[in-house]
Amino acid sequence: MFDDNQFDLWAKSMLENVQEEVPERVWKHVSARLDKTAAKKKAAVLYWRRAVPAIAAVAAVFAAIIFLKHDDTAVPDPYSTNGGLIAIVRSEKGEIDTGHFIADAKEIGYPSRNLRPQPQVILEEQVEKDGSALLPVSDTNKEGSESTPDISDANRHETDGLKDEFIRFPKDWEEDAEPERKTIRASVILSGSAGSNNPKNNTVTGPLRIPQMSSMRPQTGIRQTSTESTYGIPLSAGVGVKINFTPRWAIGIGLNYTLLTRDFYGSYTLVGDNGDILISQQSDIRNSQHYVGIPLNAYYNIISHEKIKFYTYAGGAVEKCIDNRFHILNSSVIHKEKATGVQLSANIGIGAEFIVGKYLGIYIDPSIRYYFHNHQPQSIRTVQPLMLGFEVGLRVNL
Amino acid sequence: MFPVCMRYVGERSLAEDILQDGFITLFTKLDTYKGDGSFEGWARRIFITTALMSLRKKDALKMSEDIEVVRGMKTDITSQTQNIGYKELMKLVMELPPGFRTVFNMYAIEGYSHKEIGEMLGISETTSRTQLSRARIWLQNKIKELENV
Repeated sequence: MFDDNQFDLWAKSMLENVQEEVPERVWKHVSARLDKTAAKKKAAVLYWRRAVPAIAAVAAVFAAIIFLKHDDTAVPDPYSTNGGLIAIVRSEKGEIDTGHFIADAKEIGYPSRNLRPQPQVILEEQVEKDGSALLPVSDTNKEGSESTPDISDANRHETDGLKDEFIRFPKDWEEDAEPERKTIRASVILSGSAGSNNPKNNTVTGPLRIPQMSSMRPQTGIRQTSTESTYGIPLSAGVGVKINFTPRWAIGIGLNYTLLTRDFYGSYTLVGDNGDILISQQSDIRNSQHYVGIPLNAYYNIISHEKIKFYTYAGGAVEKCIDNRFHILNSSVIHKEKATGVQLSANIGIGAEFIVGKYLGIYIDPSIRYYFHNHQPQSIRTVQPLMLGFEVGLRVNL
Repeated sequence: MFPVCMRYVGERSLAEDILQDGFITLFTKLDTYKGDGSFEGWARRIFITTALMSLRKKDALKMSEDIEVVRGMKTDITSQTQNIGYKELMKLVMELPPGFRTVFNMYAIEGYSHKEIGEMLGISETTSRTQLSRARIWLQNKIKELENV
């Protein structure tokens, strides 16, 4: 009579090395799926082989433009906090009599500013998880059967000698229908951000101060004659990449564009080569400043779930004003002035990302940013360096 | 590895799917084979895991609770097993109720201990032993019926 162990041994001897013919279609399907997997990997590799150098080259070009053209000896912007408001008085003979120093910008008092959040680019790198329940190494002291001692204990796992900890009941295998695993997932972010101006402080108010009259040569340019400026909401857009070095830490870099606007009442003066004033008019004026910058941030993942992620980040940005123009609203005149130097800023914030699909995520990043005093044209940043911001973006996983 | 898949899932067509998935996994994870133990053993474990994952997704890993399946069966099998070929035995194993089949394959054929089976399947060792005992009873009686036909 067979006991249990003998039955098991018999069954094992009968079934362990059974041969069974495999249908041809199985091999065809395996081959097709392997080819598809290889093609996907190749496409991803090719994309990043082209995309990363391209992004790095563009970033390097902008960095070169910004830093090579930085001019420390530039004349401070007359509209900086150290400048003033000047009225040009033209005599009947067409000569400039005096320049009246109307007000000191510092004395007027600028409205509080809101931070312009920096567009964040998040590249999520999916690290292969090892959340499996590993089996312990098989021990030869396993329990025997209920009826008789299991005489086959010593022979268990001798067939392969492989440690049991290889085999896993991996959670990621369950969740991932495709057997291929991406150890790095790249994401391209399209983001937009806006700082919210404090409605109570979006104008410059305060008493005027009449300075001593002094003689000044007329110059072409814009002069603010009003005591008030209205600052528009800073708007930004950008793209970038984020690379995860560890499951927790990541670095993000990108390119962004920012538009700053300011409305005020002032005068526009156009002086000819011989010193004659060709145009002098009072008008509402809109100043538009266009910045291009490179943000750089370090990210730390706090919570990572299949549907939502929370993280914190900190970093900075360097920006260059590539266009600073004044639109004289009463006419079609557009006056451009060069902005020298760069705008440096530092930021810190928290973020949340909502996973809406296998390749899509939506994120929101509130943050605090401080803009350093870098002699930039007057804007919401110069009047209120510390700003709050809010950024939203769409992330596409590659 | 095809018979391995067949023994675990109990259906030939499903076993073909498991075989495909298993080979995909094997080829894509080939770099993880470190040379510890035989390659066949390493590969076998991939297919076993793939089969179990498939059964789990289909909710077919829950243990067979119906003791009526083995009620009245006797375990007095003698030398009748000598007249059973591997094909008949394979067919019987594939016809085992899912819980019995899984535990029997893992214990009797693959050599896992009840503790390991319990950890892999999320069941207690006692349940593993019970399932195995009932699987033996079921198989032995089916073998006996074949012989009496």
